[in-house]
Amino acid sequence: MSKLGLIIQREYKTRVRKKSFIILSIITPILLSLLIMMPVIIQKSTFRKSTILIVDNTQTMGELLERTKNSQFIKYVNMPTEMTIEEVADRYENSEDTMVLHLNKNFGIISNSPGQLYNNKHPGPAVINNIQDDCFDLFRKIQVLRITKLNLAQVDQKLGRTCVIQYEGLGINPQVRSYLSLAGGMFMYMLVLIYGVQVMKGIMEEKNNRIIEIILSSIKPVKLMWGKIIGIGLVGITQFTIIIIASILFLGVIKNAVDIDTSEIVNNQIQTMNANGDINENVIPKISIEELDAIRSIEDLKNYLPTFILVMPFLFTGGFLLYASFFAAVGSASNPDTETQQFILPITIPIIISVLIATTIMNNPGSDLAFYTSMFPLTSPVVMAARLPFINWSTEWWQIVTAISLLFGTVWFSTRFAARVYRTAILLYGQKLTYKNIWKWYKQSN
Amino acid sequence: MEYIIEASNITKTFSDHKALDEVNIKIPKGAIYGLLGPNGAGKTTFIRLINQITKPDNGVILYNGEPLNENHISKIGYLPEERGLYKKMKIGEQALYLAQLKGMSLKDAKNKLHYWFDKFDILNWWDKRVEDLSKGMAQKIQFIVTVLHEPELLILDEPFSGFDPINTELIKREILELKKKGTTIIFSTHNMQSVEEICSYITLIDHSKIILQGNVKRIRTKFSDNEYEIKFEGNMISFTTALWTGFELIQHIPLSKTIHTVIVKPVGKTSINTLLGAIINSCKIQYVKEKKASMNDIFIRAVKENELTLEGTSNDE
Repeated sequence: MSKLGLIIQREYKTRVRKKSFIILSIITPILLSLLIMMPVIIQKSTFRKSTILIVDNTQTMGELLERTKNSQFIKYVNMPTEMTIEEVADRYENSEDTMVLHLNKNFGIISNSPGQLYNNKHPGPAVINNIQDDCFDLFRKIQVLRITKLNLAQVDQKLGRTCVIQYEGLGINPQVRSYLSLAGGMFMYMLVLIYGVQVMKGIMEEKNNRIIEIILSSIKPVKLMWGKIIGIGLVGITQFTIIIIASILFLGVIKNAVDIDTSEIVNNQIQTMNANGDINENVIPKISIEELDAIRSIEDLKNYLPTFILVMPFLFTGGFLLYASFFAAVGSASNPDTETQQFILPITIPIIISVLIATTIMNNPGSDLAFYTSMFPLTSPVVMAARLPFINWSTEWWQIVTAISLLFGTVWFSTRFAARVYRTAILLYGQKLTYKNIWKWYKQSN
Repeated sequence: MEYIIEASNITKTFSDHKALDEVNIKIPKGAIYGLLGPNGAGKTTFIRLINQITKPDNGVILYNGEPLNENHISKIGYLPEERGLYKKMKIGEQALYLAQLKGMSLKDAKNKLHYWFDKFDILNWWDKRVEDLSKGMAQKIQFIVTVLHEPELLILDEPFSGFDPINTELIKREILELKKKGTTIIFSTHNMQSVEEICSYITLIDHSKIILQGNVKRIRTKFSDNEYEIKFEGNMISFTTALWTGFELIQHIPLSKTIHTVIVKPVGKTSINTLLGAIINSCKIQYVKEKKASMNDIFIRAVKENELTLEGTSNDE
């Protein structure tokens, strides 16, 4: 193996074997997946189907509720009209998931207030909300029915179950797009910063524990620096890959665990859209908002994945090399007793600014600030990562190409700068770390 | 004489500081060559040039007659004065890594490391981390790593620092063993006693220039003040009478009433034989030896004289 290969191998192996690497690689995808699926999991784990026994004073609404509003969460049972509330209460007292809904006689035609709900235990807000939604939906339909003289099935068809905006471009839900934007920006910020600082720390370790002179008697300083940067960069790419693959796997596992079948739901949606006559409500399973969001998120993630996998490695490599070279220069110029904090700050400021801009992209992706900072090499890795979900490939591809080209052009200069400072400074001890000295070492290396 | 290193007219400047100024050093093959000088004189700079860590501004360095190049790196072993190891890395793994960087194959490195670890009785250290070792223990590992690839030229910068006397002897023995096998050794140290013991040639650098260079024996003779140390049994008055005016008594150390050690210096062209002839009948001579200058004295004298010269030069300017 070549000497450069040996250096890369050591830098890579020692870091990949660290507990912190393994923990971060496992925990990040779990957290990412849980974040997406958490609402569904919480709902699923806390959900129990409730039976609502209806004592109907309206004579009509109870029957309508039973006929049209049964779902996987709630089962409405309209009690025979001769049964009084006390008689029904005798029946539900033994069962904890059973409640009694006493409908006011004015509900539906005159009033939108359904009546009273009786329960031995405290019902969860989700159950109450569901009953309220069902009652209110029925109330509105009755009101429409009174004005239009249509029958209920016709009202249902006219009103529809839901309204869906067709998204243009990438087809990704704007909300998911915002999350992807924020996540991409933050992800890039963390990778560039974490691994950039690791380059600096690695160099400082070698310089300060004085192994540097032994190694430099075997390999040229610039090769050593490159070995370190490449090795640590590969650790970053490995972690990046693990996190992506593991996230996909975990998402799949969790999706199965919470029992969501995406294809069935998509088919049902099509069925609904194509239906012309009476709509059979029983065919369409009622999906909770949380489940629908999770399903959409997963579908949108699948759509976004190719762009992400194609562009992010370039942005990471460029961003990492750019910042790693600055960190390498500071690391090589440091001494055991020097305070490097004041030199790290100016390097991290552009990354922090990038993150701040990235958070605004969610709400305003087309702003001039977003555009220019996604082109400017010091901010482009993070800002472009955040803009990526909003980029329209067919018309805006050139922006990605320009940003990456400018980034790598700057990397060409920054790595040369770092190599020159490194070559001189790495063997200097007891010299003060100042900007003037860094410039002097850069010039000296000529 | 064949030379492993021939450095001619070497100059190296760091911004406003000249670290080496027109330095010429020839290192004979198979010799132990002392590179001496006060702190900051330019020794480490010269060593770094041979190791190709830095390049000279002017001048040429030949290695076995060839201009120094990357192929020579694997033929040189270097133990720097300020040496360290990766604290968190296991010792065996670290030694293998450093050996491979010197161009050894993994298999070869493993075999040789096993041999050295066994020789130094440290086989059980293989899986330990450096942070768990004492300074002296780490020094042993560094020495092994330096000599592992059997370099033709070994550069040792203060190799005994951090060692206790037992380990110092162990390392000294290994150095002499390597010399026997034909390894050339450049030995940079402030320990003048060890220079006298093991070096055959020296170069003394001060203020970036060579101020003394050559064979150690000849230098010691040259710097000696033509003084003799005599130990005898007899009467001190008889001895003093015998000195006449041909000798100067430098020092008298009475060891008992009848046993004395004296240091005398011939005046003019008087030979030591004249003195011995005069005292032989009145004293019983136990030994006579020419008093050579110690490397320590030579170092101090040479550096002080150089400083006086430099002061004189700057005053003239």
